[in-house]
Amino acid sequence: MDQHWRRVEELFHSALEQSDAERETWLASQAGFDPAVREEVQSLLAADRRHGELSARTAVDRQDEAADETSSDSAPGAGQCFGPYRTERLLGSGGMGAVYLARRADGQFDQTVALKVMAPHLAREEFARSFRNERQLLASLAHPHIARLLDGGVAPGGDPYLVMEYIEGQLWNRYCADRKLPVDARIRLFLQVCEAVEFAHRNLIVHGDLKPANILVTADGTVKLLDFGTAKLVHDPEGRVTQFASLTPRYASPEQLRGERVNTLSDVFSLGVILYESLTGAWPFGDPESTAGTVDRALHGREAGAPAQALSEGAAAERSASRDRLRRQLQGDLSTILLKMLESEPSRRYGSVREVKEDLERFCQGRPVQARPHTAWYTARRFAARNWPAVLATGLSVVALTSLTIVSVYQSAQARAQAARAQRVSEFAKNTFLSATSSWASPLHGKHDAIQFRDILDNASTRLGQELGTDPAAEADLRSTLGVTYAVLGEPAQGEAQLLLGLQLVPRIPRGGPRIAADLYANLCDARAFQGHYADALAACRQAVALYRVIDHGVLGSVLHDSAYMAVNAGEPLADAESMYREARRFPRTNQPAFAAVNDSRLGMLRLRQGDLAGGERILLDAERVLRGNGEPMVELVPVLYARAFAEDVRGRYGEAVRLMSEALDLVTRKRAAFMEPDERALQLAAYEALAGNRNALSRLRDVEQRLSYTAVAPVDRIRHHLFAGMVEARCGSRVAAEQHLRAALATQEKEMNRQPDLSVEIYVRLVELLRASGREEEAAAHARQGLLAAARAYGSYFAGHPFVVEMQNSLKPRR
Amino acid sequence: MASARMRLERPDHTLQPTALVGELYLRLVAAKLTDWKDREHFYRFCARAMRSILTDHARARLRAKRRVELALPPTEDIRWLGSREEDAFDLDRALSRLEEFDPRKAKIIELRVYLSCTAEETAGILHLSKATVDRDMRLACAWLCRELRPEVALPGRAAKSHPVEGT
Repeated sequence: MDQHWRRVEELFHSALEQSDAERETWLASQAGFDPAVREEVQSLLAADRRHGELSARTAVDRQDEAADETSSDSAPGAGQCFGPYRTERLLGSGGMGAVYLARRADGQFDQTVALKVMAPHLAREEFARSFRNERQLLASLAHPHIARLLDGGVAPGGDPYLVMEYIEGQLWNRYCADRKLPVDARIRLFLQVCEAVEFAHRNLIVHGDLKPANILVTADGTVKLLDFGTAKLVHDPEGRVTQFASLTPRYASPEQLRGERVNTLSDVFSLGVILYESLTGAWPFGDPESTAGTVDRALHGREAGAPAQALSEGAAAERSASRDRLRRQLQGDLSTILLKMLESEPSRRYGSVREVKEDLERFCQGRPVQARPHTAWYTARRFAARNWPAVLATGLSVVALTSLTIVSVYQSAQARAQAARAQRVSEFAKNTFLSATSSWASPLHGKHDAIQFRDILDNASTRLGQELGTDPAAEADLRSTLGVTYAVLGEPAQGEAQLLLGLQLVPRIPRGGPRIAADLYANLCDARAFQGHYADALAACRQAVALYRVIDHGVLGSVLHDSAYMAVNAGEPLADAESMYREARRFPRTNQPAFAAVNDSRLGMLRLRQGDLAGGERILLDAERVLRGNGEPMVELVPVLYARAFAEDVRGRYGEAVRLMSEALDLVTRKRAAFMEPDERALQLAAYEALAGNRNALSRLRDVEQRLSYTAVAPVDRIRHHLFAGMVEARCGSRVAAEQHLRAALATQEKEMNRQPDLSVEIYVRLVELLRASGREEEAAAHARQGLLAAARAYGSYFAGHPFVVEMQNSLKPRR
Repeated sequence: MASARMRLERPDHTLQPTALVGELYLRLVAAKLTDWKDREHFYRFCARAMRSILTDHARARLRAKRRVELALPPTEDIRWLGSREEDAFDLDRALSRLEEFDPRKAKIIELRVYLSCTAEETAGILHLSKATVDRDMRLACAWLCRELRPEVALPGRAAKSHPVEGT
C-alpha cells in the first residue's frame, strides 16, 4: 500500500465520522492533507453515497419483486374437482404446491380432507408411477401422530395431487411461540414427533424432508406429522434427491446436501436441527443464508455451535424463562444430546430415532443420558480444527472406504472397477490442481498469480495421456468432463477435440465402455451444437441415443429431445424430428422439472411449422399454462412465447405477435437468460413490429445488427436473420435491401435446408408482397406459384385455408 | 458425467453460480487436497477459481454467441453489483488494480462476492476482526462503485480511475 492511498484511507474514515452537513467544510479545512488526497477522498465520498443509494434502490426492487411473487402466487380457487374430491378453500401454498380444504364429492362418504396439489413442475408421469409404487406402503402408515395419506392421483388437467387426513392445528413454530412454551414442554411435545418418525422407520419409510412446516399441533397438544413418505415420490429409486428444489437445505443433513442416499440417520439429523431451533431460536450452523456455509456443511461437516451460546435475541422471553436460566438449561446433557443428533458424520450420530427419544426421556426425568461428550473425540476435534487439512483428508478417505465397502458387497465387480477408476481420477485431479496452484501458495501479490481456470484445464488435458495412459476408462471419463467444461467456458472446438480423444479410447475400455461412450457422445453433441454444427451434433446425438436405449432410460428422454432439436436445426424433415419429440415424452425426467412442458412446446412449434395451426396452438397453450405456474413464470416459458408469436404472425395478428415477443424478451432480461438468444429474437420482434406498422422497427434492426458480432454459422440461423431483416427493410427501410435479404434467405433455404420447405413459404409470402408493392406483378405471380408449391409440400393436408396459402392465392387473382 | 449433461441440456443451459461452487468444491473433494496450508489458502483458492470461471465466461460471452449463462452471485452489502451484464468482466479488472495497491481489500471483496461469504466468515478466514473487514468494505465498496458506476463527470471533478496515478 503506498503512502497516498494510506493517507486517503485515513482521511476517508475520519470524514465519515463527521455529520453529513459538516463533511464538506471539514474536509476543506484539513490542510494537513495533500490536495490530491483531499480530492480523491471527496470523489470516494461521493461514490460512497452513490453506493448507498444504488444499494437501497436495488433493495427496494427486490422487495417489490418478492411482493409481486407472493401476490401472484394465488392458486386457483375453490370448487375444482380432483377425482372424487372437490376443493372448498385454500389452506396455504408454498414451493411444493397448494393445499386445499376439500370434501369428497361422490356422496360415498362425507369426509373432509386436505388436498395437496403438487407444483406443476413435478413431472406428472414420474409422480404417478412413484405414487403407484408407494401407495401401499404409505397407506399402511397408520399412527396417531402421522397424518394419514388417503388417496392421490393425477387430475384430468394434469396436476398431480395427494389427499391427506385433514387436521385442524397450528404449525409447530407458531404453536410453540403462541404459548411461549418453556424448554421442557417443547421437549415433551417433540417426543411425539420422535414417536411418529420412529414408527415410520420401523415400517421402512424415511421422511427425508422433516421440517417445522411439516409438523402440525392440534389444539389439545397432539402432534401430527405431514407429508410422510411423499418426499420419496420426488426422489429417484436410489433414494437420492433428484430435485434439489424439493429439499429444504436448512434442515437437510450434510449427506443429503451432497446428494447421497437418504436414510434414517438423515432424519435424525433433521430432527436435531428442528429441536435445536425450537430450543434456542437460532440455526445451529451460523447464517442459514450463506452459500459458503452450506457448501462447507456439505463437505467438511461444519459442527453445530454450542446451543447455550447460540441463543437468539428474545429467545428467553419466548420460552418463559430468564436468559440465565435458559442458558443453564441448554448446557450439559441437553447440549450433548443436540450435538450428537447434529454430528455431520452419520456414524457419530444417534443410531436411531429411538435412541434419541430414550435420551430425551431420560433427560426429562432427570436421569443420566447415554450420550457422552467424548472427551477424546472432543480433543480430536480441537486438534482437527488446528490441523484442518490433514484431518480432512483422512476423514474423507475413511468415509470413502466405508461407502465403497458397502457398494462392493451389494454390487458387481463392475462397481469395483468404477470405484478404482474414481480413485485414479481423484489422484489425477489432485495433482493437476496442486501443480496449478502451487504459485498461489505464495502471498497473493502482483500479476503472476492470475491463473485462469482455463490454464488448469489446459494443463490437465496435456498431462492426461501421459499419466493415465494405462487406464483408458479413467482417461476417457476425464476427457469427457474436460470437453464439456471447455464447451461451457466458450471453447467448444477445444471441447470437441477432447471428446474425440476420449472416444478413441472406448474400444480399449474393458468394462463400462458403453456408458462412458454414451456420455462422450452426448457431450460431443453439445460441443458441436455450440459451434452451430448441427448436422455433426445430430450424428453424435444419434450415437448417444442408441447407447442410452440399451443402458439407461433415465436420460433417454432428454437425449431424444436433444436429437430432435439438432435434427430441426440441421434441416432434417420435420416429421422425423416430431417423432423423436413424441418418443421423448415417454421418458420423462424427474430432475428436469419443466422437461415435459418444454418438450411439448417444441412439439407444438413443429405442428405450427407443418401447417397445423390449431393443433400446435393447443399444445403451446397447455405448455404455457404449466410453465407460467402460479407465480413468477419459468424461463422455459420463453421458447413457448416465441412459438406463439410465430403463430400470431402466420394468422396476421401482428400486434399480438409483438406483445408475445416483448413479453418473452422481458422475461429473458429479467432472468438474465442470455442463452435464449435475445439478439436474434430481437430481430424477430423487429420484423413483427414492422408488420404491425411500428416505425421503431428499423432502428431496432440497426441496433441489433450492430451488436451481432458473430457471423451465423448454421444455415437455419442465416435464413432467419435474412428473413426478419428483409421484413423490416420492406416495410420501413429500403426495398432493395429487403429484396437482397429475402433472396439470400431463399437461396440458403434451397441450397441447405430444402427438406424443410415450410421455411421457404414465409420467404415467398414476403417476397411476393414486396414485388407487388414495387409493381412487379409478373415476378410476384411466378413467386406466388413457387410458394404455393412449397406450401403444398410443407403443409400437406393442412394446405387448404392456411393463411399463407390464402394470401398467395389472393395475390394470383387479378387486381381490380 | 450425467451431471454435466443435466446442465447443458437444451433448453435450459443455465449454470447457476451456486451449482458452480458445488461443482468446484466437489472437484476439490475428489482431489482430496492435502496440501492446503490452511483454511485461508483453501478459501482463497475457491474464490480465485470462481472469479476465474466467471470472468472467463464473461469474456467468452463478449466475444461470441453463447448459449450458457453465468452471472455474478448477488452479494450482500453490494447489491447493485451484477445488475449490469459487463459487471463480471469489469469487476475482475477492477480487482486486479485494487490488488496492486491494497491486496487485503481485494481479498475481502473476492471472498464476499465470489463465495458469498458473510462479513463474519470473511473475518474468520482472513484472521481479521469483523470491524476491520467492515471498515475495509466501506472504502472498497466506494472505490468499486466509483470504478464500475462512475458518476457522469462534472466539470472540475472528473472521477479518477487510478488513485496511484500522479504519486
